[in-house]
Amino acid sequence: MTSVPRILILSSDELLAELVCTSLAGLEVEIRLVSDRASFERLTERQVFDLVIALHLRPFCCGAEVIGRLRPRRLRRPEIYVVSWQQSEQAVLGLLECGVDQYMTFPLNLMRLRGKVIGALNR
Amino acid sequence: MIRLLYILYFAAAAAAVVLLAVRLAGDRLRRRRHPRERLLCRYAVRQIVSAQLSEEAAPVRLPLRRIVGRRHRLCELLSELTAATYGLDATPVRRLVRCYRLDRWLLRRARLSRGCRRARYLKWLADLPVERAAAREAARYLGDRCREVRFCALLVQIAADPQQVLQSIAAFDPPLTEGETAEVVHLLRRGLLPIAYRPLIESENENLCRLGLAIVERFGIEEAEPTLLRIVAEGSDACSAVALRTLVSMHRPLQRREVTERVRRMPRAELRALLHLLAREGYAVGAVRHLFDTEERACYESMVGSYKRQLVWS
Amino acid sequence: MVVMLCLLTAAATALLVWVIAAERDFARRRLWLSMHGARADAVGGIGLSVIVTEGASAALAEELLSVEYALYEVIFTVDGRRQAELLELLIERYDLFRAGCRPTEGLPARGANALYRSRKRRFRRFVLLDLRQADRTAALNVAAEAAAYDYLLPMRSAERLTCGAVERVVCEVAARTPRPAVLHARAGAGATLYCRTALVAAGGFGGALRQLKPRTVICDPVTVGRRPPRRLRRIGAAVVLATAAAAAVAAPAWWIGAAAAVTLLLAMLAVLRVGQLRRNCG
Repeated sequence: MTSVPRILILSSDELLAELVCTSLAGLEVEIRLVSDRASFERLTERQVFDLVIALHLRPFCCGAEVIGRLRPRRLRRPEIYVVSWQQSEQAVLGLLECGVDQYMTFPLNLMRLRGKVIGALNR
Repeated sequence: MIRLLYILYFAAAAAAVVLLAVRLAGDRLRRRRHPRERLLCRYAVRQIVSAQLSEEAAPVRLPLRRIVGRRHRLCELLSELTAATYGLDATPVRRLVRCYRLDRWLLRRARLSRGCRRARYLKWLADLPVERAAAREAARYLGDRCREVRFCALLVQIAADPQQVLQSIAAFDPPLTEGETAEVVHLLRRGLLPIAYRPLIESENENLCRLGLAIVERFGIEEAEPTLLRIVAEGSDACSAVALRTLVSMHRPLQRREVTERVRRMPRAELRALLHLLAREGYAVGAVRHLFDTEERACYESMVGSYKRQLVWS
Repeated sequence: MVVMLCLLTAAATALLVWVIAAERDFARRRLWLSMHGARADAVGGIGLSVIVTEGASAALAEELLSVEYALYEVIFTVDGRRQAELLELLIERYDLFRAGCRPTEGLPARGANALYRSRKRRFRRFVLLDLRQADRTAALNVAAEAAAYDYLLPMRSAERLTCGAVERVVCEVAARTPRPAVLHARAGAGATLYCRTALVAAGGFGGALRQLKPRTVICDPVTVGRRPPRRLRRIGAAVVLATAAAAAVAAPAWWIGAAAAVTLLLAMLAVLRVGQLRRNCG
């Protein structure tokens, strides 16, 4: 029996998290939302995810070892997508340097995001 | 007489106490209602976005009857959704605006308030699909005393008639601040502005020129370099400073006569700020040596040294 | 009697002006937070360097580096001899290397031993200064020498930035022509932002800062300190109410007592309301 892919959404903004969740409606996936660090650490200890969508830059730029927690065996899974308001080149390069797979900015095209998520899960 | 003054004072102070107590209590009640409203807002987001993504034209039904200040919440929600997304069908939002008469409500609230509160209602109006009638009514705020109100009224005009966006921006007085320019550039990402930068940076109008420079910087349009150099040499102080900053942020070579002459005219404070900018952007000492005198060159070498690994230290 | 009336009127007027200014700046803050231009782009090339000279810790570094504004950096000053463990921890966590550390602005900056920057691009906003035997003024001057951006925000021990504070102050600065040399935030923990070029011209921290002009004041919290414990707040409120009751009872005439009691109540409610605005973030 194949398991349903799991997607983790990191966001302290509930509306944005709900927006992204709704754009993935209809897909056969299990979506979990976390809004703070403590919940994130508890959840990642218990479960492994296939895709992570973060709606902020800060988990990756503040020194908290988020990537290490998500990819404990130094593999390139799960894929990590970051969506943020920030347009600066330095921010984008910094994220790609630390292992983020995709960076998108707000305003977001939800159909495009959905397409990318489907592509990631098919891979 | 003294007694009368005391009684008057007591009455006025008591009125102030009552008003403050009401605001405090209102805020506490709002915080108490907040968890339930949060759930309803999440439901509303789901309904609205699902309607925008689906191909059927089903109406959006929202359980907002029991929410105090439902139109306020709905406007806030729609404003956030509009800012965070693009390319979605605006029909469900248009229907909601019509059903709850949000545009009329926002204009009424703007009329009854002042300053930044009025500006906020106008900003929300600009984020909704705006009819021309509402935009005409909001146009009277283009002459408001408060600068934020004038700017948000401009945003309403842009939202109502994107074809006239450049004319509206050119006519805005006084010149746009950097924050306002950044906000207008944000409209570009939502597809409300044309990206054609050339007519903007070649325009005599300062607002359009600043907007064009912001677009060039945002998209790193290197082919605009000759025009940028012309603005550095001949433009107003404000525009030439922005053009120079744009050249530096795009890491263009600075061995240009226009740049050298502009730097020569700079006051010391602005020159020091330029040194810091060049150091941050990673310009080598040799690449900018010609721009500065001996003292500034020594200062720049120290700045660049602070970004490099020091192998020997005392 | 007249003097008392004048004092009460002056106190009440000052409190009301404070609350009205706080409400106005709160409305302004909500307006700026509803705009997204400052979140997406650097506004007018204006950057902010936050300087922490006391109470540095890894947790504080994480919190301050969570700000997403593009032109922003955090400068920590630590004493490498007394805080060797913290220094090592920060060097390891942020992959820091030792860079050149020579003064460029000519400020009275003593005690600078080393400057560290990160090899990792995402931590380039973090700068660590190792100072030896430097008092607060000297530490601030060393940090001002090392700062890369136009505006400096010194933070004191146990202070935290409020949400959206950086974007807010940048928009305030950008909205004014000419740009302010000093920006005071009167609410919260009372932060002061300095324009670096004006500060250098005045001789650095410890120089003639009072003469810096133009100055801007906002009644909106940029930083907040630790909130007093609930028990202490309740005791404070009880003391004010008891004093108001005593004033009402012990006054020579009922209208004097009533005026004094109402003024005390007004003071208490004003403090509560400004505290509420401080907590209503975004």
